[in-house]
Parts: sequence; structure tokens; C-alpha cells
Amino acid sequence: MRKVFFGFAALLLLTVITQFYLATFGAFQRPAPTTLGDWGATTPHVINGVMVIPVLSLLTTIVAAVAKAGARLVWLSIAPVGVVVGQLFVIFPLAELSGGTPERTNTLTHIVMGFHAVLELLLLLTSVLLFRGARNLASAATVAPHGDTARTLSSSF
Amino acid sequence: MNTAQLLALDHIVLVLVAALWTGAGVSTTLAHRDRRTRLVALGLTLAALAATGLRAALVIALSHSGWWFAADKLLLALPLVGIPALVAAVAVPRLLRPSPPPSAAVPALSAAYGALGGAVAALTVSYPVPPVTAGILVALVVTATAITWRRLRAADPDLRFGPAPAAPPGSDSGDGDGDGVTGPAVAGAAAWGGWSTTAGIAVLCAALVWAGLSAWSSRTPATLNLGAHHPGTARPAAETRAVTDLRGPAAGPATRRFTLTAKPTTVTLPSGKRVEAWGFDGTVPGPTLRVRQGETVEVRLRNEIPGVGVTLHWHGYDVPAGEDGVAGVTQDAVRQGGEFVYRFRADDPGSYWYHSHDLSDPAVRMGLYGMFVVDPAAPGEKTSPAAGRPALSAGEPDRTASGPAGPPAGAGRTGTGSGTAAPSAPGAGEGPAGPAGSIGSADSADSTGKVSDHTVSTHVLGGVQTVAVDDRGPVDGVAELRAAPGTPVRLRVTGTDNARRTLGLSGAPYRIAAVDGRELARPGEIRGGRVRLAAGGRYDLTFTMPATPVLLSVDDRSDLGVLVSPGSGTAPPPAAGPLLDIATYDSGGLPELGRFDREIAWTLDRGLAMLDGIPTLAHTVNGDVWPRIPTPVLREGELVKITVVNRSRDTHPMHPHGHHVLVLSRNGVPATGALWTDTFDVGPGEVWEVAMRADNPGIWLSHCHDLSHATLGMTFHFSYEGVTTPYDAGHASGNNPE
Repeated sequence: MRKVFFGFAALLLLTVITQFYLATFGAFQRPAPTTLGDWGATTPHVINGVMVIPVLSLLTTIVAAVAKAGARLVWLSIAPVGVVVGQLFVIFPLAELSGGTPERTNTLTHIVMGFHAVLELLLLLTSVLLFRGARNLASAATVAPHGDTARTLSSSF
Repeated sequence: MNTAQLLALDHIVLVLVAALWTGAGVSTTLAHRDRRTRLVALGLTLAALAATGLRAALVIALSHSGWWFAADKLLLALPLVGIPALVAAVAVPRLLRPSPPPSAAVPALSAAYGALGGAVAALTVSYPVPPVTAGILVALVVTATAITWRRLRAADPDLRFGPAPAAPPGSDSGDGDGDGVTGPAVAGAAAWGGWSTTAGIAVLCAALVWAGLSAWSSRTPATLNLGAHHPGTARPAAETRAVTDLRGPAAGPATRRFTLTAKPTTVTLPSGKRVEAWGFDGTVPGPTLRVRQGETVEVRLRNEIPGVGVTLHWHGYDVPAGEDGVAGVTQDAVRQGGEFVYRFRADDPGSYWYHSHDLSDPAVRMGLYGMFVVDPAAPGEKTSPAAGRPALSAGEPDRTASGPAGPPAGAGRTGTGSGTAAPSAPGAGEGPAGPAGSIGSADSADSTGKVSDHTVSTHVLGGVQTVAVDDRGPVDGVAELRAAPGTPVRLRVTGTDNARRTLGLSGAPYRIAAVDGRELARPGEIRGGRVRLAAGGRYDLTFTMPATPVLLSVDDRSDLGVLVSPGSGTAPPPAAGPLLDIATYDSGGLPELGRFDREIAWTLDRGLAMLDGIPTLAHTVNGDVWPRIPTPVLREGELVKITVVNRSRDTHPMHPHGHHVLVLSRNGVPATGALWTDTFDVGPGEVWEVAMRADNPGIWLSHCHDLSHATLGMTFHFSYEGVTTPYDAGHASGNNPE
């Protein structure tokens, strides 16, 4: 089960790195999409951020709990959901409160939106820490006396 | 602070409350370790209490904007965090004494669960509050609290993580609260651990099964008849009629016949950019249909696009239901090689447009739309419909794709369907050569009082925003018109995109003479002001041509719009004045309507919902998505009051088919004139009250005309008693009304 958990943690890290790639994949599209709600080349970034990362994070959390990975790793597993919630419920509402409109931004909007990337760094940090923790746990599982149990569990999963 | 800002702030505070309670809970668990941790716990608890109080204040402020905005928070989210927060507040003195037991963290952790539950509620609960979802959230928070309470009470720090030193010491740290639990507690804790794992897996499995079942049951069925049955229909209909019986009149002597053929095409913009598109008769926008009031319109639709269904919906023209052109509701989508004939009387003069209504988002985006104008029959207002295609405005009996010459002043479009290449345009901002003379000559007659009357549509093609005047093809820049000084000018502006557009007119005072095809009684003069045009809406802007150029700017851009020029002079800068409120623009007075027979509420929101079997961050109406949004069933003749509330952070241009609605108020401010609209822009946090007379029996789609929102769930319908449809909107039908 701990190996499964490690697999999930690795997948989550990969998804987060992909998220960075997708951010600039779409950022330089020209002409910029002019229709509201049309994200153009940024669409994969939006879908990955709003759907894939939170769902994967929730699944990883469940697996971490089942694998008895300990509170720290459980918290690290759920942290990406927290970061996504922060993006959706703090950064974007703040941008709306900055006086900018969907059609026209202002300097304050840009200052707020800069923190979109800073929060993303937090996401990277948590997923790296999670990956390392899960890797240690998985390698410990193979040498620890109850490692066989873990293997049996993971193979039966 | 307006409602939209309160909603945005509430989201921020929601996260703050959850983060602070989580921090307070965790630090209180560890507070027995040292004084510093204890003070941190104390500080976080106080901050969490303050943030919770702030959220309560925000929710109360929101309730002043209307119960719709606050119900979910007052009934669910706030009690979930507020009740444990009160207990935590009472327990604060325990943090003032050294070594508080870990169980002292239970109230704070419970508040954290409640706050997280509130965040989930913000994503899943709309208005009205669904009792099942609310019950599940409450149960989850109570269960999590109970488990936490048991673990923190019974835990023993020495034995719990014995074999796993990697476990962080603070995670579920032991109590040492002197509750005297020793040996038996260890065995009890182990048994409890096994039991809780089993229970957790059982709950997880149940949740997965439940999620799977709800996804499965939310799929759009293979057959979906929108006229079949409507739960809640109180009165059985005396007689039933099918939409196929609710058709337009037979062709008569005063019938204007058109043929529109949908086909793939390539549009070349003046900038040189080539865009693959779908167009009627190979042009984008499609040919402008101009008819005179009283004539019968007959339009034969043909489809030559492989694999794409096409229909014609007469946006804003309140046709009989059978002519409404909604695939799966009033007809089957016209497949390649097929055809459908629409026929209706053009009795209501005004500006309208037509577009395909099968998978309408991609269809309209790709160009399957055109302008439709009914000129008044009254000779009082002489018009010179300056459509570049004389075939469409001169009353020819028929017109086909291969009929009259191609785009006369084409700003460069290539009809691949006909294989004719139009001359490319000289460039953005330059007036059309050649056939534009027809407009110029019309303008020379304008000194006699004739109106220089033009359709203007703005559309994004291949990612580039364009403007099209009459039938001249799209221009990704400034289109130019000629008008002699003194000429009355009418620009019929249509927004065909999914986004609203900001219009400004500089260089002359102007009026909004008509909104959505209906003349305003007493429109005021606007000098330098701007106005927002809803996606799908139409404004007729009128002004008298001065001796200097006039610029109609789109989205405040100097390089996008229409320049009406007397022949010389430079373009004025775009209008930058205040945005006017269309609901209080006309001062003609709100007509008396009498008593309402029924009231309907549409609460618009954004949230997680199962859309065709897939969990989606959807656009919801009354908490649900297409096709599960409840259907009002109207009786003919009823006067209906519709309250539209936007709880989301997006703008929703609402478009009920087949009817114009009279705006009664916007955000509680009564309308000052008779504003009849078919597409009204409900902004974030806004509340619109409109009146609708049920005078056009049928089954009518009603949706957000940001068609991407319509695709993501915001499509529903209302029905008349006894009206049925033989058409089907399910997966197996091949029709996609949304």
C-alpha cells in the first residue's frame, strides 16, 4: 500500500510540474483570446489546476490514510487542495476586488495576480516534500519487519 | 460595497477562517509542549474567532442583498463553523493555563472541519439549499469531530506509533491529560484503530459507489423529450398540441423567400489572416435578411457541412414555436444534404439575428449566424436599407447560394463553397471601394431625410475580434461608412460573441433608439457615455451626422469599430465617458401590468455538478444543470414575474426564447422606461425582476447566451400546458439543443 501511496505522490508531483509547463504553454498565445470564458491555449492549465490536481490530491490523501502514512504526509497530501482553494477563493476574488474587470485589468490586478505564481510555488514545495516522504516510507516498508504485509496489501490493491 | 464585492470578500474570508481554525486546532493539540506553542494556539484561536465573526458580519450584509445570497451560508456554512467556534471561545481560558490537554483542541479542530465543510458547501450548495447535500456535510463534520474526540481522549503517546518512528510526534499526539487511562486503554485504542480503519474504508467505498451512481444517473438519457412530462404540473391540459402544429402561416403573395446554405468556408480578414469557418452561403456573417413589416418570411435552410447539424434560430424574433429552430425541441437538426423551411410573419419591426441552435456554442463561434432586420411598414420613416446585397433588400422572390454575385464589397472572403474568390480588402480602416458607392449614393440622398441604416455585428473569428457592417464581411480593424452631414444615421449593433461588449460613440451625441428590436419611448441623449451590450443583445444607436467623423468604438478600442465619415477629417478618440445603466436609461415610464399570475425564480450560480455523467465546475440554475433544471409550465395568457439572481462571479446574459420580457427592476431599482428585452445581462451579485406575458404557446428553451455557459449546464426550458413535441433531445437523437 505504501508503494501505491508513493506512486500517487509521484503522479501528483508530475502533475504539478506539468501545471508549470502548461502555464507558460498558454501564456504567450497571440493574439490573446478575446472572448471571456475562452481560455485558448491556457485551457489545459485551467483544467489541470481546477480538476486534475485537486482530485489527485484527494485520492492521494485517502491512500495516505489507508497506508497509515502518518499525519504529516496526510496533511501534505491534502495541501494541494488547499492551494487550489486559495487560488480560486483568495487570489481571483482579490483580483476582482482590485477594481479590474474581466475586460480590463489594472496595476492592482497585476499585483494580485503575481501571487498566483507564488502560491503555485507553495504547491510545488508541498508536492516535493510529499514525494520525498512517500519515497522514504516506501523504502522503509521494504526493509521494515512489516514490509511483507505492506507488499501483500499493495499487490492486492 | 456592492453584492459582487461582498461575495468575493466572503470567499476570501471563507478560506481565512478554514486556515486559521486548522492552525488553531493543530497548535492547541501541541500546546501542552511548551509555553510558546500554547501562546501560538491562543493567538490563532483568537484570530480564528475574529475571522469567523467577520464572516458572520459579511453573511448578514449579504442577506440584505437578498435571501438567495445568504441562505446557504446562514443555514449551513455558518452554523458548521460557528457552533464549534462558540465552544472553542468558551474553552479559551484552558489555553491560559499551562499544559492544556490535547483534547482541548477538539472544539478548534471541529471548527476547522466545519470551516472546510463550508468551503465544500461554497462549491456544491446553491439556492435553494439541497437538504441531502447539507445533511451529508453536517454528518461528515460531526463524524470527523467524534473520531477526533475519541482519538485525542484515548490516545497514549508512548505506544501508538511504536513501530513507526517516522511518524511525526505531533500528528496524533498522546494526551497525558491525566485522564487515568492506562493498560486497558492501549488495547482499546488498538481495537479502535482497527475499527476506524474498517469504518473509514466502508465510508470510502460507500462514497465511491454513491459518486459512481450519481454520475451514472446524471448522464443525459438516450431519449429526452422536453415535452413529455413535467413534474409539478398542477392542471392537466384540456387539449394537447404538438410544436409541429404551432407553425407559421402558409406562403402568400407577400412572401419573401430566401435560401441559406450552411457550408465550410475560409474567411480572409483585411489583416491577411485566414480563418477556417462555417458560414451561411459561404459568408461570415451570413447574408443580412431585410424584410418589411407585414411580409411573410420564408427561409429554406440547407446544410452542406459534413458531420455538423444546423438549424436557424430567430434570435429575438418571437416566431411561432415550430419555427424556433432548436434542435431536439422544435425540429431535428438539419444534417448534410437535408433542408428545413421556416415561415413566419414579420410583424414586429426591429433588429434581430439568426444563428444555428444545434451545439450552438461551436456553431456560432465558427460563423453560423447573420443579421435579420424587419423594416417598419409605416412610410413615416423612410429607410435606405444599405445592405450590400441588393438581392436581400430589394425583394427578389428567391435567392440561392449560387444566385447573385458574391460579396460586393467583400473585405476579403473566399467562399470555398462557390469557389469564387472575392477581392481582398485594401486594409483595415479603409473604406470599401467600388460597391460601397451604393452606400455613398444612398447617403447623397440622405440629405433629403433618408436614414442611413446599417447593421453592425462584432464577432471573434479565429481569436481575432472583428466588426462587420451590412454584408461587407468582417474587418479586424475599423470599418468605414460614408454619410453626408445632416443625415440621420442608425447603427443596428449586435453582439454575437459569448462576451458582452462595451460600445461607445464619439464625435456626436447619440441615443439608444431601440433595445433588442423594441423602440424606446424617450431615450435620452448620450454625450461621450458608453453602454454595455449583452452577448446576443442588440442596440440601435442613432445620431445625426455632423460635419466631422463619428467613431463607434468596441471595447474602448480606437482600432476596432465603425468610423462614419462625411468624407474627410480624422477619427475622434473612442468614447471614455461613464457606463450607463440601460434599465434606467429610458424615461418613458414603466407601464402598469396588473397582477401577476405566478412568480418564477432563476438563481444562477457556479458549482460542482454532475453534467452528463461527469463532475464539472458547471453553471447552475436553481442548483441544477441541464437537463435537470425544473421546468415551469405556463398557461396561455398568464402574466409571469421572473426574478433572476446571479450568485456567481460570472456575467450571465439570459435569453428566454419566443418572448420579450419587460424589465421591472435591476438590483431593486425600478426601471424608468418600458425596456422590452430578449437578452438581459445579469452581472455578478445582480438581481433582475422581469415580467413576461405567456402569449406564445410552445416549448421554449431558455439559457445563458454566453453559449459556453449554456454548454456547461445553464440551459433549461419552460413549457406551456398541453404542448408536446415529437422531437427528441437525447444522446441517441443526434440533436444538441444546448
